Amino acid sequence: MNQTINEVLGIDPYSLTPEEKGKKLNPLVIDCFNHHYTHCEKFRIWCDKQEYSPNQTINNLSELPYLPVNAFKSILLSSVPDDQIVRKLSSSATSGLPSQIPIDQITRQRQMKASLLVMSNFIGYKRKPFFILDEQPRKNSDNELQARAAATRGFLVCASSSDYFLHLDKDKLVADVNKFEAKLSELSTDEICIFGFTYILYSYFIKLLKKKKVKFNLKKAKIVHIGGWKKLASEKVPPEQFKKDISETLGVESQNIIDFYGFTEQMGVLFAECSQGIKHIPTFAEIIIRDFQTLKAVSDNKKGLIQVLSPIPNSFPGASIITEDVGKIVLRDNCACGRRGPGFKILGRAQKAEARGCGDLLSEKVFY
Amino acid sequence: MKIYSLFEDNTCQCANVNDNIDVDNLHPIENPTEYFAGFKDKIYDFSAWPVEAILKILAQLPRIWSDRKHFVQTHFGDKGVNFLIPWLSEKNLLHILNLAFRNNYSYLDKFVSNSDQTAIKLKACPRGIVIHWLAGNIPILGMLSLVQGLLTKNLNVVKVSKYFGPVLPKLCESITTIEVEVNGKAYFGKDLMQHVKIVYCPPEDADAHTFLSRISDVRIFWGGKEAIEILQSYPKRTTTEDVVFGPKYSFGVIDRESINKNNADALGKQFAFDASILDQYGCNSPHTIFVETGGEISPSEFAKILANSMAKIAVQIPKRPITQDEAATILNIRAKYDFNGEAHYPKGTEWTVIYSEEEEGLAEPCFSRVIFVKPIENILNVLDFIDENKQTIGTAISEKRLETFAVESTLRGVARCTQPGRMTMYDYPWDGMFPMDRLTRWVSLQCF
Repeated sequence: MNQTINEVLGIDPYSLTPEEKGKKLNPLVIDCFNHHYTHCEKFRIWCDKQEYSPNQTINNLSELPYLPVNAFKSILLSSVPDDQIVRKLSSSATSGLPSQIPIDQITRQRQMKASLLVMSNFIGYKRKPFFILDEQPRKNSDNELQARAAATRGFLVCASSSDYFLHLDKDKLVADVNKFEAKLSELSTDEICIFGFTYILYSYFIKLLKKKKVKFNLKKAKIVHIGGWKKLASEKVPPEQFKKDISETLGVESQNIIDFYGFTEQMGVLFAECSQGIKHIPTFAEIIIRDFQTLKAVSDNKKGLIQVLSPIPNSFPGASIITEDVGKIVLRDNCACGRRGPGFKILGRAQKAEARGCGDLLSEKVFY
Repeated sequence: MKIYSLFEDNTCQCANVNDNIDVDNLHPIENPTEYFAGFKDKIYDFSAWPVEAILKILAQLPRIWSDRKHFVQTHFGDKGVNFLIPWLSEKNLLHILNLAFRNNYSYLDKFVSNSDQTAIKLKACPRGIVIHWLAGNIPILGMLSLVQGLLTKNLNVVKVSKYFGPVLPKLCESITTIEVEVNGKAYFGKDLMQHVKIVYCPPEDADAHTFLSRISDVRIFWGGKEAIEILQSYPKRTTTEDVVFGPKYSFGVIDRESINKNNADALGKQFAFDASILDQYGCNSPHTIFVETGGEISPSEFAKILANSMAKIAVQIPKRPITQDEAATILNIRAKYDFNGEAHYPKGTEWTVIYSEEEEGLAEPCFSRVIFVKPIENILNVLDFIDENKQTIGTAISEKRLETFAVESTLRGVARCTQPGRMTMYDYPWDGMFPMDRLTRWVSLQCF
């Protein structure tokens, strides 16, 4: 199976028609699901409760059971022996229970390949200097910063170098615009990637530039941001204004401002938003939208909870996970941006599911 | 300050009654001070109405709403209207009036001698303007509150929640069509409704809430702790009375003598009804059922029996559509107990029964028909979990133990011990009080 997954991870993530993708991906997801059924006892017991048997014929991925994302918070689910675990990831940074995700070497390699494929497609194949609009993690960083750092690390696979431009001053994040300017001068190129959490990037950097009336002309730069919109939306900053303000202050073209979606329990699977405002589903993943009432898969353009399927996890049963996020499939193929395959939009996140910290900001949407 | 009127000229002002309130489609009251000053003057005419006329008008509603083709049934059948129908019967309204007014509701109409031993006559006088602050969880609460305000001849300002806000104005439209005759005089529902204002103001509009608070003679609060604390903090006059129906938790208790092979199904059905009728959004809905160990049916077996009943009730009483938040919460709780207990549920989100031996005490409420069954060695151990925030206990307890249990549990804060299947009935007294009594001032007249 590993070799076949590697095949999928060796092609352009947005090059297949839905039929071609289904033929390649569906058996891999089912095999991955059954691998966890065989190797994770707790998961097997859970599958049995769902009346799932590896011997049953799965005609459609929507027939596979889906593990709620919070299952990883209540129990450690592992499909490999302890000595194969190279790292344990924790998703939660602030309040709430953290997810515990065991990662083995196979999973880690797949995740890196997967995220590199998506990142390269959106920000270019050449490694770039990363300007990180966050605080540099320290050994004794609090959980919140550690989670942000873990998420950031996942994106640095495309980085030729990385520098941090925010620091704590009396418990408040402060941007160092002078350092930012100096680093740009030092590099003498604007082919850089500016990375940050949506809220932090805007509130602590872009707002400051606006206030100080500082402008840059970074035409070739890419902005990569993660973490969701809830907090900015509560401050009445819509995505359009976010993009407009970034374009005006940094001189970055609007199509180079890219919003990424992903979460710890499906690491490596990144959904990047194209210039059409659509989050694209790569060849190595599938999205199913489920109705709030019946939990059945809904048709395109109908909203529901987002289920993510992927054959990437080898060490934990994350092949089919239902999230607390709400979205809808808006496209099956041929996006105007030129990418093949389906795309979706995120419409929001369940609010009361669990007491959370600034979850929108960081904790749950953490990559590796 | 923006206060929106949702009911004018006997008509609901909301365009789409099944949506939440959208203030963009409403006009705020231009001059609230003037608007409510005129309203207060109506108290003099209203106090001359015989309570029987009000009662007869309201008691027509069950007949109107029982028609399955009626707008109220077709649009709000899933929002608890059928729960209101028996409560609004003439028999029940008379019953609660008599309970609240010392078996003689004519105290509301005139001075009545209350004893042969004294020349003092008593009367229950309306307090004036009652502001009802409603919670969003159960839209029909507004009617329970409003009816008691009307029966006591108060002027009523009902501040509805954004969620289900249009329900009450539409229910009130039904009243406007009613006509009754008392002592040869006709009384009209449309005139009765002149004593009701239904309004909305956004939660963040502190000026609007302060205004309503200042004009009130009684403030009735329905809702969660946080909302009530904020609302109660608004300034009021020193004479203003507060009636609080705050967040409460209800649960069930079954002792080992009261469950056996013959009645377990019936008990399951009764508790399933209690957990389903208001989708557990009532303060009187059970979230946990304690089953004493050592009986003929084990707690774990009862969880399965309850699950069967929940499935059947879900067909008879369909659950109202749930939100993304509720769906996610249900999925999360199922996942947790799939791995750490027993979770029984269908493929959809209709209902969930959790059996857990691990966690002691009352389960945190998830609402939306998620009910926990927990074993307990002795039903008296439940007393440790009771405080003043516990409201109703559905008791399937043997006769010899029931009274002791009731004495002990009520002493600790519980307001009602009632049979399973009756937990969600809006009984009198409620939350430890006779609400209509709180809406009146007892005044006296010494006769010579």
